[in-house]
Amino acid sequence: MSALFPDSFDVVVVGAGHAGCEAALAAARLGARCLLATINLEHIAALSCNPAVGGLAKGHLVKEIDALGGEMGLNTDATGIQFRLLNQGKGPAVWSSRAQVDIDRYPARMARVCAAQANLWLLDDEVKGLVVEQGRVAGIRPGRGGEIKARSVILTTGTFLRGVIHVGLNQTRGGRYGDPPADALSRQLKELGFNVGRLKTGTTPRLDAASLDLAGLPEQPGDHNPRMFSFLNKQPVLPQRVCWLSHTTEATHELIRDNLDQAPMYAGVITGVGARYCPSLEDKVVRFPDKSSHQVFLEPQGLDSPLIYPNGIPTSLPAEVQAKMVRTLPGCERAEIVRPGYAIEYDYCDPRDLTPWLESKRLGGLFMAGQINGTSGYEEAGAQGLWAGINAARLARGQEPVVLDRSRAYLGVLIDDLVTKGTKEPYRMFTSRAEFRLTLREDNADLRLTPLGRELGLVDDARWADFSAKRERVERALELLAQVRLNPTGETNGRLAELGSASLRRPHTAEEVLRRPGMNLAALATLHPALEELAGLEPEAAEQVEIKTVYAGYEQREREQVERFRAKEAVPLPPDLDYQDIEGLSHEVKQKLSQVRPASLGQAARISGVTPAALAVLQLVLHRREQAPPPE
Amino acid sequence: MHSDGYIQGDTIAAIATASGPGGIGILRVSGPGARAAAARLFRPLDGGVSPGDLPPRRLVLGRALDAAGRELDQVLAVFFAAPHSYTTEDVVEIQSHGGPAVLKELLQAALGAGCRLAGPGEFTLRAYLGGRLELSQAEAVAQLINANSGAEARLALAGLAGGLAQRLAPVRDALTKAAAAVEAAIDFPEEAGEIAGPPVADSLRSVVIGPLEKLVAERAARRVWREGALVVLCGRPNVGKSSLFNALLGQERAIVTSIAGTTRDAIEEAALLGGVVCRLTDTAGLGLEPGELEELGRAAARERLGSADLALVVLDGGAELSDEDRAVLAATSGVARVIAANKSDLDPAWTLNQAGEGALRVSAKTGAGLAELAAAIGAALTQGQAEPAPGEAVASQRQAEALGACAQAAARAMNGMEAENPAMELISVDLAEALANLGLVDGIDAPEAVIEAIFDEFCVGK
Repeated sequence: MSALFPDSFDVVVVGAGHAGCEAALAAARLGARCLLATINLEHIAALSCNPAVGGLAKGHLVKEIDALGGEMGLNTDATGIQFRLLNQGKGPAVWSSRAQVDIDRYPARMARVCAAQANLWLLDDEVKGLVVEQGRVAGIRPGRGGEIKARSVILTTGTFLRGVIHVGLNQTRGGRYGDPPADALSRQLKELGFNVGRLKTGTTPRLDAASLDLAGLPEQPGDHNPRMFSFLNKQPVLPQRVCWLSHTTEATHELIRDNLDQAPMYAGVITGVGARYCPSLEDKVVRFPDKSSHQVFLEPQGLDSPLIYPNGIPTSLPAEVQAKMVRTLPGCERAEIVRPGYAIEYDYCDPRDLTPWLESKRLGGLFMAGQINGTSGYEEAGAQGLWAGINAARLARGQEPVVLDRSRAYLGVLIDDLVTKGTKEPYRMFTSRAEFRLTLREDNADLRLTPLGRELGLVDDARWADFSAKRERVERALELLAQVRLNPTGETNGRLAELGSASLRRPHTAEEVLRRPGMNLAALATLHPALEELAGLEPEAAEQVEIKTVYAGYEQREREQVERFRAKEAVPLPPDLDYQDIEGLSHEVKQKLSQVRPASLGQAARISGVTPAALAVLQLVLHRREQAPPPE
Repeated sequence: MHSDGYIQGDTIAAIATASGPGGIGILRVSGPGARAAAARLFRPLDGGVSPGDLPPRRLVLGRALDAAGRELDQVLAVFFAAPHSYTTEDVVEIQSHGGPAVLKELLQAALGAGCRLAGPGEFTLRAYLGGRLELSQAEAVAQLINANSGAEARLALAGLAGGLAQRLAPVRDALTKAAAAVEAAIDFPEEAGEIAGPPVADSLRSVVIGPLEKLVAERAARRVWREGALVVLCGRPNVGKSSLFNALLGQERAIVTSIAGTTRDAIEEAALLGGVVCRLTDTAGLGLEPGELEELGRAAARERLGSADLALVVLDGGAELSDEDRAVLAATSGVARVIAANKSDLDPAWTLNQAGEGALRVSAKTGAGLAELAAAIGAALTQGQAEPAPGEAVASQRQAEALGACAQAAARAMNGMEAENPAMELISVDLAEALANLGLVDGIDAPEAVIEAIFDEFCVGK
């Protein structure tokens, strides 16, 4: 190693995927000396599956990463070639952003950001093992030999732990197409007693764009006024591209049925559990025989890429069957496959071993984020990476861990679900997992989280100034709306009639009028001189005010639920509590509490099978400990 | 997240002392909002006492109020200021002679006034956490909580075994499917497509709301077996109400108790009629003075009759029906009733069907027809529901409340679905609330079930 390369770090991140990059950047930005180790430096932040970021609930996560000072939103905006806001026909709480990104530019930019980041070193080597000293992690063993010391280590191994790739009945060992697996680390985790399980995911074949006849297919363009992921950005940088819509046909389904015996999932070769929300084409055909067609989105992989990503047909059928199969899709009659789709099996660790700040309860100082925790998706990985990076840096600097609870962010829901309930299939975020969905919206991610990001030290002065100004304008507007009363004068009612809104019969606050269907801030501003300043509000702030006003009643209801929720979150359960010793708990409850060792009474309540009566018993025990502390 | 469990700092309420018909029952409210709740539940007779600021440790006579602020019954209230109370919090106790029905109304009103239904053993838990009980008693408290929740679980289980489970299964299934359809439309807009509102609304109406309302209504009928019923005699003067009243009491010779201690003039006695313990009272007991029926009109009279389980309409079978009689019949047409044509010892002046369906001829004087009348009253009260077998639980107050809340939330979701542009994210809130309330009864707390159902029903995922 060169003289410049230290042999000891505050934080070492193992794996430079979407979790690893966020983790390393966050730790380095918080001032920790951080090493990012990867098995292949050429593949930093690789988009192994589709070249897209965001989507339902995932968009929320990216906006939260951005609001906290992470990189994924900025990287997506800088390399996006199509932006769409999904669910626009539904309420703003479930609007979600999605972008196609350039498959080459996205990783390239992320690699540049990492390379340019102060305090951050990169290492191109497989990590063969962890250094464990006195029951804590103390560093890593790189493949080249020796040890690198670290106060904390973050594992973001993606699909690399004992990765096996399936194409038809052929199997190759690999962490991703073209990359070797990481087997040694997986073995050591098992030896250390981690509960290691096996999951499976898959991806689609890639098609040669030149071999497709896209002209006849319906186009799916991006939005006319695209919204960016980062609160700092206003418009796309790169030229924008369309996608095309195709679909499977009866011929597709027949071909698949005829070749099911060669599908590894159906031939019993794959033992890892796949995700039901990401079914292979084989699964779709078998499980939904009545559907004669499934949608396929043909997505350009980038501005210069010669490849098309056919979204909707992940498959692990033999390459020659895949070649015939894609030609049954309209527009793909002469399609050439450049790289076949495949299934990959990999090891993950039961995330119930982790604390809500993603540190292992088994091995202090060890953090885990991304697919190693059983999740799927770049966004889920990035969000966990950011949180692990923040906490690993804090641990290295002797600071208290920070927890983001379910009432504050999708990120909190994600982590709490993982560490409390674990997962048996690759875990993906859905909006329906967030019980405070009406409050946890994309539009207010900055209002929810940027103050926290600032407090933690990830939000720089420029972003903070920008944010503070916006927050002030939103608050001022909301105040105005509550104060200004509109009287049922002829003038006001005449103006309302012009706007197609019913007349006022009694005085109303401006807020009440804004809540009317079809009303917006710009129109409202014309109803009263005191409201005129609202017309000048920037679009993001205006939208925030409108949405907040529409949901005000529901937000109030959720706020009350949140208060009750937080009361229980605020009661910590000591990590040394011996649940087997507690009289009054059933055997089942004792076992579950011992397995998860929840950090708070609230977390305990979310473990299935833990009853209100059991919680009351726990409260009693806590109270008794307070009065008579156990002997040291 | 179907149960908030035992949180501290909020205000809880429960019926602290269960009462049979005629006994004393206590509603206990504990927490920082106890005084505010008292102001909504209780109106002192002494104008000098403010209901929101009761003098501590003094019994105050007054009127209990229901959720709508109507007077229920004369009661005693006592306030204990923190920390000088059992739980060490502000506590208000309201003592009533009115039997379970009045206590339940009071509890409803308390829940409507921002209180939460206390969990098993929760008052004792608070007493302990407040330092009122000794450290050594902690285990006992834990056992109490477990014993009570165990008993409740056994009761619930018995209730479920008694056919409730089979009837709630389709309700849960329909709610889960509706929620899955809504969540799929939100989370997988491109694959699941838009959902059609009307079929979901129809399913909610016919499989969820209808059956739940029926269940709650049935419970009301079966409830009388264990809690007794309030039967109100209605009729113009001189039809023989008082003699029929006395005859009914004498008929069974099974006076359970005399209601003493209430200062009102109403005559209220308990008797076993058709196997059901009934509290018999004259309309005077409801404050309906002779002639008042016409003055108040049907709506007001009905409101007064509202707290009765059954109206026993008494007519003079030996005299032509008067306008006053017809007013009584009209006023009671909307409530459960039995019509008695008294004075069958005289020549009948009108045919029974002139008075209405199911009218009976009786004679308070000779006793003729009294047994049939008692049987008819019992049958009308129980609506043909058999007396629950020993050990078989009728849905508890908690269960009935939860099922009612479930039906209401489902109805909001149904209305939302029928709107032109259904607001999925708001309908989802109502469906989640319906499922959470159902979970309180069937014990199923499965937030993952909706997500499971999405994958069963829809081919989602690209």
